[in-house]
Amino acid sequence: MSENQKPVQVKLVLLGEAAVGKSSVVLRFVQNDFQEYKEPTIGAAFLTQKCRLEDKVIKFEIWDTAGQERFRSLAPMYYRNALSAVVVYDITSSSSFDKAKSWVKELQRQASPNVIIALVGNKLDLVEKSEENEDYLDDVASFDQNAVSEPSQTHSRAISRDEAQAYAEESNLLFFETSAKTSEGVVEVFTEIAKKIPHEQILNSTKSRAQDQSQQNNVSLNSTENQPKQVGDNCAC
Amino acid sequence: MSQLTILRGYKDPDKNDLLCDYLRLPQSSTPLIDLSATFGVHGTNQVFYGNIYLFDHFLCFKSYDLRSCVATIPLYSIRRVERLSTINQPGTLALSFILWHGLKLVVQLNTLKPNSDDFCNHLKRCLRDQLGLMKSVKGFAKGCYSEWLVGEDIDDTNDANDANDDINHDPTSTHHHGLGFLFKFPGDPKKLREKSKLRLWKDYFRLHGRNITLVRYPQFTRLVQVGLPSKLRGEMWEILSGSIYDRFSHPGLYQQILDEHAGESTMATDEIEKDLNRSLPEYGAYQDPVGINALRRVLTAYSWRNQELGYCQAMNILVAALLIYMSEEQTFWFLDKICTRILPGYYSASMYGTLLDQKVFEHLVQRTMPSLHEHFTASDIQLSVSSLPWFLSLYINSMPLVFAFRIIDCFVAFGPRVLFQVGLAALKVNSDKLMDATDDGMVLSIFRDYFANLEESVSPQSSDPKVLNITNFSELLVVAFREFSVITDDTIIEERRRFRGGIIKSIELFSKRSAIRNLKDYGKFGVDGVNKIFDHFFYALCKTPTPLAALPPSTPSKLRISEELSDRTETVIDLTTFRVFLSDIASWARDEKMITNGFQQRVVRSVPENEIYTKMFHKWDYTGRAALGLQDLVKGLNGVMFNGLLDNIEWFFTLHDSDNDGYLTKDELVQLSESLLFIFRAEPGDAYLGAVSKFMTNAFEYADSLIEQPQAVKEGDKDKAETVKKEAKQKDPLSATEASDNCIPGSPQVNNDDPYINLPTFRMVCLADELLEAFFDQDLTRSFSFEHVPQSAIDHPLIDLSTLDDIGIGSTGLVGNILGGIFSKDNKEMLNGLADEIGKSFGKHHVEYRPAFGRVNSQVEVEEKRRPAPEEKDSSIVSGMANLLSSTPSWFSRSKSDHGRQEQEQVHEREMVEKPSSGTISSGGGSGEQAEEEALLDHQHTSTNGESHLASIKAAQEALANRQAFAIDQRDDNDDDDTLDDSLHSTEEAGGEFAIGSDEDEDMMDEVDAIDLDDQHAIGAEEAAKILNAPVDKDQRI
Ligand SMILES: Nc1nc2c(ncn2[C@@H]2O[C@H](COP(=O)(O)OP(=O)(O)O)[C@@H](O)[C@H]2O)c(=O)[nH]1
Ligand SMILES: [Mg+2]
Repeated sequence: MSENQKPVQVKLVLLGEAAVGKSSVVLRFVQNDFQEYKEPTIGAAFLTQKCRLEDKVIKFEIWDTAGQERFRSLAPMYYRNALSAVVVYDITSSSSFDKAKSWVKELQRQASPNVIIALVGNKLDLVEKSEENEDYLDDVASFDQNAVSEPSQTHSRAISRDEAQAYAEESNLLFFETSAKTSEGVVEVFTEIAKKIPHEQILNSTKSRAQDQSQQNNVSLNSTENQPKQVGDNCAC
Repeated sequence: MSQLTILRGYKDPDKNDLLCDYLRLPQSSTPLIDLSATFGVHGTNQVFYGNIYLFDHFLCFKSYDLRSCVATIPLYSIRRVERLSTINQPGTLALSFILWHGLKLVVQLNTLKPNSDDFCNHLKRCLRDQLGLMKSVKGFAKGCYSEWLVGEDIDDTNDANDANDDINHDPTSTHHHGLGFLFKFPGDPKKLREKSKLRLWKDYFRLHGRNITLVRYPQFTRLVQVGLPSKLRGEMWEILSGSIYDRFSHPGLYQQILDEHAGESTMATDEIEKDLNRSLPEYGAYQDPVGINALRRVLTAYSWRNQELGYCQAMNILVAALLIYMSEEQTFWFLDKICTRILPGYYSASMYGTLLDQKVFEHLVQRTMPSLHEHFTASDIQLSVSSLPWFLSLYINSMPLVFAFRIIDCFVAFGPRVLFQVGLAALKVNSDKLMDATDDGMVLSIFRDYFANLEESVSPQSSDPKVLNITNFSELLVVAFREFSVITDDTIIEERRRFRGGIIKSIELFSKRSAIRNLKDYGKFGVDGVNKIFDHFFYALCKTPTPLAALPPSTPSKLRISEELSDRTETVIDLTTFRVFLSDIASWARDEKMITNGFQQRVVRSVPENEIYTKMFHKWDYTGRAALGLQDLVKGLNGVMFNGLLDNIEWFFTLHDSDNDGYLTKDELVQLSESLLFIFRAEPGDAYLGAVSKFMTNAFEYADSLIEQPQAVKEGDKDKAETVKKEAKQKDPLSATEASDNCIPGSPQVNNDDPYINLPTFRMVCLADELLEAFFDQDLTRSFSFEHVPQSAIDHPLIDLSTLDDIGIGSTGLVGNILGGIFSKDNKEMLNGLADEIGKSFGKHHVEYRPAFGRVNSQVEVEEKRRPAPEEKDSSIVSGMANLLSSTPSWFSRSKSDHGRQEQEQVHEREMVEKPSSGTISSGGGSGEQAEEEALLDHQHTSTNGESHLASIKAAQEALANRQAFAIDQRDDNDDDDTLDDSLHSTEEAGGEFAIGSDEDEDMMDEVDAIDLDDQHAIGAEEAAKILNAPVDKDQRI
């Protein structure tokens, strides 16, 4: 990889209901890690991640917004000028999907006109377990209904892939299902966004700026396991 | 209050609020006495000129030189008051106040005898009122670390010896303390010179009072700026903020709140739970249940205490930080102080205070560092992205804790200006780097790096140890308090005032956008329509807020599981607000009076009482939560505003069919008729009354005849309905009347709550009357209109909508003009009343009711016919406005109980006037109706006491037509810039320095000396001694 190339800066903002896993998805992408206790976020956390797509270097500037409803009025501050937005919901929570839709609407009206929006259904691991073992779980299901204290077992899919997919198509969004926990699908989100970015345009319009040298680690997106689709032709950061 | 309109409740602080904030009083109130005085603490050699204030619970002093001396002494801490001899200045009164621990304050009143007598009388009374609290003082003081400190001998060995040894005494049993006593305080106590600081404070306390009686002298400022000692810090924050007085006066409340709500879970508690593990996780206590539980308890208790606020992210960090130095109860009251007094609106649902201060901060940057500001603008850098967390977390989240706490020390002592000064300094110090930044991310990184290195020396290469010792942090403070000393409390107040309106407006606009975005169904309204509905919704909420308590308990507490999180912010209204909402939209739902009193003519609106509001409220409550949201209103209005004749009849029928079974009971039928009478109450003449009477007669007659052949008529079965109609027509009119009489309770055939009349029959009866047909065909639908929201009121958040009862004022004549000129929202009501009274005494006062439909009319209609534009009809409001020739119909105030009888009379009376006519009685009718109109006109004139006031009515009409659209006194918010300039250019006063403490301590104070070259004057020592040591004249024990 030749690192002397001028990177294409891509501002990306994460939006979605509280606790759907926005920070976890970012953490998985930037540090390939999943952990419970994180830095407190006031307003939005800012992270950067460089990666490589074919012969270009892309530098994601990621704004991970705070989830609480009352911070919502601050969101425009973070999504303005964003080239891309990742709207996350939790596939086991239908309210988070409604919230995601409302974010999409807001972005389509208020954000930059060509913003690339990716709809991401997170926590895929929660339902994959149960979907694999569906036969077995059928018997247990009636017990689990009431066992609220054991959340990881009781969660079942609230939003079907088809429903979300149909909504995404109709609204012209990229669509993914991910698990920040297992890392499934996470890198793909960013790769597909990177592909859709009109690079030349940005490079030309980018103001010549002092390079920010601060500790950006160049992670190879390919190194992530559970990522069968990642082959040479796409993102090889 | 609802979240949408809550901002309208915020007011700029007035003079008293500011004074009370300055004095750190628990509540804002007006001082009973405010006198010029000289003040000093016995045993010091300083005396200050200033004002003495007596409040119900406090005696306060504030020196003219704001930075010199402040004292807030709770009256319950005063043990004795003595009168001192004033031989030097005969006629003046000097008093000494001996506090519970023996400290003596000397006050000389520089005023005339009557004033000082007044002062003494009030003082005596207030002191007596506080007697009961005196005995609580000692026990309370025992819980204060300062009390222990003054009594203790701090061993005089050097800081270096054993920094931890006085942790050995067991503080936990005696006084309030934070987690730091158990989990260590952040920072190295040696480096922080804990012992020297404690010694200095101990000396200070001995001379100047402590905890609830602390008097601020000039030395005090420097002691705070150098950083509070860890063990004392929590208590000092309490004292400096005044929250200690709240804790004193609410003993046990914190625990009580926790006990009362134990085990309950709310939206707020769910949100709190999510953040517990991300609140200063690096501090030991928060890796331990001890810390986590304390954090949970304080946040939860506060969410109960202040339910409107609940919980806001960032409070977790603030509280986690406070708990290191304060007990839970101390933290609780301190948090309350921050949220309600020091930084109002910071953590509220709209976070308006946060947004406002960001705006203020940006503007201060523009004023003080214009080139940097220009660079930000040019590079499209939004400073708030970086600075918002500084303010919201009081820098706790931005700097290493040791430094953040030093900032908080100053913030608590000197007020919110500190947050701005530090922020400006951070920009200034980094301005070179910032000038190279090209986007938000780079700016954020610059500050991140800078704050992470605050401990580093400014010039690490220097060989001079003194220079080497200057850290980035001390530089930051020096720049903040010296270079930005121009930023004063007044600057902040002025700036906030300047931007408040704009911020509120933009937040309201934002809520509007998201409320509309969250609508699932616009009905037939389109974006424009729902926007207007929102405006009305909002306006109604402003005028008559729905209190949170009025809503069914489900709203905040039952919606708890995360599934429902997202719905929480929906604003809903109760019946009271709904009535106001409807009255602004539907012409029949309001009483509109035109009041003329010779000086002015104005339209006064009010909302009458009637069951129909309740019925609509319940019908529109689609989600069954006993409250209506915007979506309900859109849906409800959609069901009536686009209707044709048959739809409207059905709508009206269904409205009264409370169990939705397709039948009205007799009771419901009577209620329906009453609704009709209500709706037509302001129409002139008795045409509508007749129509309703006829309707009732027919309805009962047909319904009864159907009951005789049960199940003969099925819904929609037209043929049979026709048959019934024919049959009914053959009946004798008299027997029809009897039939209707029979419907009164006691009818043998049908119980009053049995199904009685169905829609087809009802429809038929309605269509039998031209007026009713016209009503259902057009008038009902047209009576709804969105035009009445005073947009100016919506657009100007500083206008207090709750006082806007009058809409539109036209003033006539000289006095009227003068009145109009001095109207303000405060005095408007009073002046209107005055003008009415004068008007009455000259016989010029009269009130006219404006009809809701104006279909049946007289004089004006003749004029209307001549008008060229027939489309005028589209707006019933317009024609309603023109139809001013109305008066209170004679039947309007008739009591309900006589309905039946009087209606019968009216019908007969009316039939004599009315020719059997098949045409509608409306504008555009033939000349045959002219006669009838005149007849009606006659009738009207008799009903207004025969007084003919055509001329004045014409004038009124003109005034009304020409008046500005809902002109209300808009408070102009053009702040003059001069004020700020003045304060920015205010000169600093230079003064002598004070030596405090020993030489070694002096060393430590260097840092602050750099900050504070200017010190304050005291009165010359000689004079001070004279005042302070005056002999006791007369014992005035109280
Ligand atoms: N099982 C599972 N849990 C997840 C996943 N992503 C996040 N979480 C958990 O969901 C909670 C909220 O995650 P967080 O990233 O803080 O959400 P945010 O508020 O949207 O930033 C945390 O407890 C995470 O551990 C996932 O993919 N699978
Ligand atoms: Mg997060």
